Amino acid sequence: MKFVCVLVLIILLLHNQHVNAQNFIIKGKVTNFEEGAPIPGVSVVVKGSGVGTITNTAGNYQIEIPQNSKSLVFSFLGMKTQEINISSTTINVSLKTDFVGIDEVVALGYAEKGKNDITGSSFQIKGSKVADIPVTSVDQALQGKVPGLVISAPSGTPGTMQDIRIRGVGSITASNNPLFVVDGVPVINDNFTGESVRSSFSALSALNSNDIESITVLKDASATSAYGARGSNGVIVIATKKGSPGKTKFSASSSVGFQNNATEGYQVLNGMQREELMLESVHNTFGVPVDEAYNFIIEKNLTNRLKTWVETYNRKEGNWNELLKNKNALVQNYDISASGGDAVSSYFISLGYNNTEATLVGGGFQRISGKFNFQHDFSQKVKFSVNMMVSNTRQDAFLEQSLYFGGQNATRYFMSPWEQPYLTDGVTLNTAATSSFYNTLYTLENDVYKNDLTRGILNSFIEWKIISNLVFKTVYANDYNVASFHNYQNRVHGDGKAEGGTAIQSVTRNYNWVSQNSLNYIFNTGNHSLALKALMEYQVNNYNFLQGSGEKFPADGLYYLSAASSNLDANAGFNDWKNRSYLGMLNYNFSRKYIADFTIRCEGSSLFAPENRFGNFWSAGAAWNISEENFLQELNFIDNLRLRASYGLSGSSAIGINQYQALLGYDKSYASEGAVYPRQIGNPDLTWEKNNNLNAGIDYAFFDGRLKGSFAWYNKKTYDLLQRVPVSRTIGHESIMMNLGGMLNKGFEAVVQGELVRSSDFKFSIGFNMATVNNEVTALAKDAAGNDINIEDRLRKVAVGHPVYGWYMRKWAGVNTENGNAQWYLNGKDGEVTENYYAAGKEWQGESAIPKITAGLLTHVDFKGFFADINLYYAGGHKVYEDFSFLTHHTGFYSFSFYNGVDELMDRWQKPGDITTVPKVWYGTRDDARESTRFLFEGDYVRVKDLVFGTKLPVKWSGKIGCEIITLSVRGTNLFTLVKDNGLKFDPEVGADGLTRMTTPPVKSLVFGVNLIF
Amino acid sequence: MKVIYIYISVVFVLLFTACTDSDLEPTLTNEKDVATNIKNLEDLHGIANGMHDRFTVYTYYGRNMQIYGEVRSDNCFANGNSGRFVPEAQMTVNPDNSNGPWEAMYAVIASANVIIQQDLNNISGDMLKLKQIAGQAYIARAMAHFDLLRLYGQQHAGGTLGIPYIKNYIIRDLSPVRGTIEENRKAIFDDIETGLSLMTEENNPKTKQIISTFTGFALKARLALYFKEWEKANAAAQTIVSSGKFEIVEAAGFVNSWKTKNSTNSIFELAASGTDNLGINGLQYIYRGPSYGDIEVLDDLKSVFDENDVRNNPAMIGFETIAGKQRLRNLGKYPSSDFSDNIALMRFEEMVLILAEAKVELGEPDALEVLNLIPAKRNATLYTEATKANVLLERRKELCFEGFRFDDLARTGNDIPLVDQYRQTHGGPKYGSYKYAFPIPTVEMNANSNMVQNDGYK
Repeated sequence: MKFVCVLVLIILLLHNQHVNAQNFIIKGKVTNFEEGAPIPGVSVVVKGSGVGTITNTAGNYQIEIPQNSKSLVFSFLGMKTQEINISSTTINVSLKTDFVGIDEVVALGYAEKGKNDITGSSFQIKGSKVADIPVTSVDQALQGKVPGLVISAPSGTPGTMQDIRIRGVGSITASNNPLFVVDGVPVINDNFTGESVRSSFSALSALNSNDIESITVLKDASATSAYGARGSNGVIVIATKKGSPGKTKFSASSSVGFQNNATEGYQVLNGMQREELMLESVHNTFGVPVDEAYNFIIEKNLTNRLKTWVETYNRKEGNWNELLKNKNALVQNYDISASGGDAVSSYFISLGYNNTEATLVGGGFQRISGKFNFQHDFSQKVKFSVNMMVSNTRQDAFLEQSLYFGGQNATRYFMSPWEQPYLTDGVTLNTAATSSFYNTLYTLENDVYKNDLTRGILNSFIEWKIISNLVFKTVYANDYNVASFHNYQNRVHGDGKAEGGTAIQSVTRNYNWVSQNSLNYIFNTGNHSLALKALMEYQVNNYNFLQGSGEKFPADGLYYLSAASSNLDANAGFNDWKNRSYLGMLNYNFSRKYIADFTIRCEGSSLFAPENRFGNFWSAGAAWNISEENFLQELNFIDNLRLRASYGLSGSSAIGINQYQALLGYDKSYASEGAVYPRQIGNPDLTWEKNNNLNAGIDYAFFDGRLKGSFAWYNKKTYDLLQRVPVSRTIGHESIMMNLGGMLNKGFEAVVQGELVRSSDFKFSIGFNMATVNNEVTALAKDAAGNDINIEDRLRKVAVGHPVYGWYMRKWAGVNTENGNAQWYLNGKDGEVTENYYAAGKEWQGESAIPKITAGLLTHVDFKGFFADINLYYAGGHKVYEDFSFLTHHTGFYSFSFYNGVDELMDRWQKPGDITTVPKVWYGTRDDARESTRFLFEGDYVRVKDLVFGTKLPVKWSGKIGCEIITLSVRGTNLFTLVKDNGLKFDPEVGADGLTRMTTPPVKSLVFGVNLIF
Repeated sequence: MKVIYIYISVVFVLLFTACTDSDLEPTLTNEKDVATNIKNLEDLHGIANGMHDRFTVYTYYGRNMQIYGEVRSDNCFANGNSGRFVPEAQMTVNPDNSNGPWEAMYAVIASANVIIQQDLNNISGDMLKLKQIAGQAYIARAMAHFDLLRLYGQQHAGGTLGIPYIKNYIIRDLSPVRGTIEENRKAIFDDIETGLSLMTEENNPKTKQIISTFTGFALKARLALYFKEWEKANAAAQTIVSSGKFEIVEAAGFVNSWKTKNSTNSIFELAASGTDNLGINGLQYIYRGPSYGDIEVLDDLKSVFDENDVRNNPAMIGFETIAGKQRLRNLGKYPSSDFSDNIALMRFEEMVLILAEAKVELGEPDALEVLNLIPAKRNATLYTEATKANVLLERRKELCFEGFRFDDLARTGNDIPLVDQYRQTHGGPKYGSYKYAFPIPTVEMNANSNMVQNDGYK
């Protein structure tokens, strides 16, 4: 197959002998219309051919044109493109600033299109808007800036993964994460953490935000169907910086600042409050008067803890919450880059360093990254480019994915203040704590828990202009990830104590390579313009892992496996997936007024059984640039007005590897022999999830770009959902993977940008973006009797006619004022109440974790060299559930004896007639705080995402030290948060499942930055 | 120019025609396809190992099964230290959380059915050995269904429904119905008989870690005892006693026998080792220690032993000091701190006690002699009368902490005694209460429209 392609191309080469005998030379100068200053780097191209050049630093150019050339096209980013007919040998041009942005180019991954040639909803952000935001991975910086893109952070630990949803939730079982494309090549964005109980470790955190030129979010079929079976959840296209011709330009930036938790969270009970509650509970449970309760506890030997605290420690408070916080965690980011070039080559190099401390003691994140991009024209026809990005990222991985005795954030909430962190000398850590929770100050100091990722991305291509309108491009890209994990739990205190110390070390190597070959053909006659692209892509991913573990260390301070003496174990494995696709794209426009767009992709993947391996994905789009029509030419205030619509089929194959095969597992053992077991039912009929995406929109720009934006409406039908259909457990498996079920996501997006003031000294603009999501499950797998198989867990349910994972639980009916018992509604809605938790029924409680509306407000002010930005983010129309409430709000002895509880418990019921939201305390276990609407809160919140003040130093000052531009700024991130429901004390930003967690909360930061360009 | 167009179209066409490529096969490294990979005795033996391994998960005989029997009784209580077994001790189990044993037991049944479904004529190897493995599978299937019935069946909760009896691995019926208790009893009994008919004593395994013919008889004795079929219980227990292969361990060696593998009083035990064990999820960690250590012993149990009884000495039942507080613990059974003990499931002493009880019920004269076989080797005072109450008392003393107490109380129609109002949290439910049965798990109710939930949990 590949051989045939090569053969054909050789034949074409032999035909490439059409050399024009006579060439003319055109010269000229390009200046800026407003100021008359020369513009270097302007692209000068003969229209309809590949012949071109750029202006030098004086704005001059010289170009040798073929015989039939008719006109020259002058273009430069940010300026309005001009086309001049060739009528003499000297052509001087002055270009105007483009406020409207019609000529902007949008990077769509496989292709770049002019903004007015797009038929779909893609949204592009310049890298400069996200470069200075102090986050560890660039996806976090996108929150609030792109309509329809919802980013939520399940954890504020630096380097962790974000949950990203584009236009709602499309899958129940398969992943909902979008595809990431870097420099035209799909890359993996996996979680490389060494243990799933620990902080996740995002592969995206290996990318330096400063190296990014632009990020484009592809949302509808006309753009995503080009990605076939992986585009259904949306695609995020990242284009990294390339060199630009001209004198070498240096850029250096440094930002230093500090971070704290963005919200306070709960206050926990202090020692005196616990004592009060414990004594009262004894009174409530055993009838003993409160002032005799202390002696009763000792006499009946109910617990020793109170006596120890009062008599041995003299009621000294253990201030765990404060000790575990790393107040004003330091965050630093340094970056230096250089770019330059001449007419035939250009380069870009950068070096970056980031060090972010976690807001909890014992955590941190560091990254060193480097990038080198080099482009070179071998000749007029052949262009070559190589792009290398290598980085090393290290992360301290907290034990935080659930409630663990060794979890730092969990310890803040659950460690009893009666426990002493230090011995009486105030310096030695106390390892004799009686609580099940460990003295995490000790484990943080003496344990090792590091994730380390080295990532190297290589992307190289050769572009060959075979004949004037036909370009052949071959791309080879390589993404190599080596992730290592080292965990040591010490022998003295903590999870490793029982085994005498434990260690795990693992190495994961993920090697992903892609080869793309494409032909691009452009055909222009008269008013017709046609662009064709044919592309073949082959991608292979090889995943290798090796892990060793051991226990029982002979001495402290030995962290590596060689010193382990018992329970030595090793695991190893390999898996792979492969993908081969053929893509055809066609874009037609008639005098830039009417545009039609077609894409078809035939894709095969190794994830499915041989009979079902290949699928076809397609899209069709159309656009009407109304503002180009003659009847609108008189209305001068309309700069741009276009209608667009697209419809297409994308797919999702985001399921695990080897799901279609019925498999025996061989990785267990019994009595020192191999134990074989049926591990997976498999399903040979497995195929892609499919998504029919209808999108329509309007783009507009009025009053010379003073008011511009877009509106879009979308309707996404997902069907053949890859569902892990729960089966009767009696067959020995939990589920079969099947393609059943459907979901609908529809909504509306709007972008309005207004430049309220535009004068040379003062500029003020406001941008507003919003998106709505209406999500509904339309079909589910059915069982043998034809009834829907609903998926239900303790808090949520998936059923037809409701949003996916809608909240479904018992309904809280308050506290009985007569006896202080907790009550729930029997039918889950209203009416009769019961004090028996298990008798109460579950019901739908409204909403799900998906925000119905997300919106961002971006304001920018420029005043005489000073600038300010205020960006707000709003998410609402969803509900958040406080998980672990059973323990944090326990009215029984988990709160005042074993662990700890929140200080809201002090509002408990005490005597008949008390009206309160907290039931009475009891010496025992209580069901009062089990799952119910008592802890289901409205999730609406507004957050001030960015607050920036800065100044560009006047040229006369910066020029003194040889710099072109010096920018100083102060930047605050997540500074203020307003939450609608004042019962929600945890941070309202939770993961996509709507549950608060025991992870590090999201952070707010204040950072001082200096940017130099010289 | 026209030539170029032709070439371009040719290229486009060529690029698109090759849409069926075969180099898209994924690699399998740690797994193999089910259909083609059971070809010889070694393969079948591997599946049998997998079936045994599935018994050892902590939601089944690795830990939970034993604790359910202890905490829903007058033997032990859950102190809430790590929150484990609190609902079971209260006997208010949430259907959202009752799926652990259900899934573990049906997993054993699935493995057993993979073996049972094989056509032994198509597998190469000694036919007797192949049949031995098939016999083991029948016994395992019977045992797992019996355990399901004991936990989830309505026999002591005032109903007639048992559990679904599954005889196939390939999914034919995705929504199986619950059989009646009587149907289940018969099917379990038939499986034991079939299993025994396929196995021979000569081909019994060399260790007690794999199911043998004696495992089958022991299971038959237990089943008969549970359903009050005294003749069958008598016969099965007698077979084991008469085989001469087992002995009651002596008093002097009693404490140590719990650290020994394959001792002479063991009929069937689950394998564990220093490198292959349940660690903190096992019995050792729940019976002792400051981190979990959720199960403590009620004073009532300690009080039934004679002073000199070796089962009561401080090495077996004693105090552990945790955070300055004395906790009464099971110290002797499942003792090793490196979690390497095998888990005893069937001991000879239990068979002797079944024999004694059967004889008491049948009115046989040597009932007292049989009953006193055990106290004689425990430095305990001998009984003077062979009564049902004495048999149950001796069972309580001998088999404490091994998960038998709840079933002994339930099958004899007793309420759960409330002996300590501070520590026991179940409030002493009366016999026939819905609390005597676990709820059918929510995940099963949702996936199986033919499943009927137990009363009290709807």
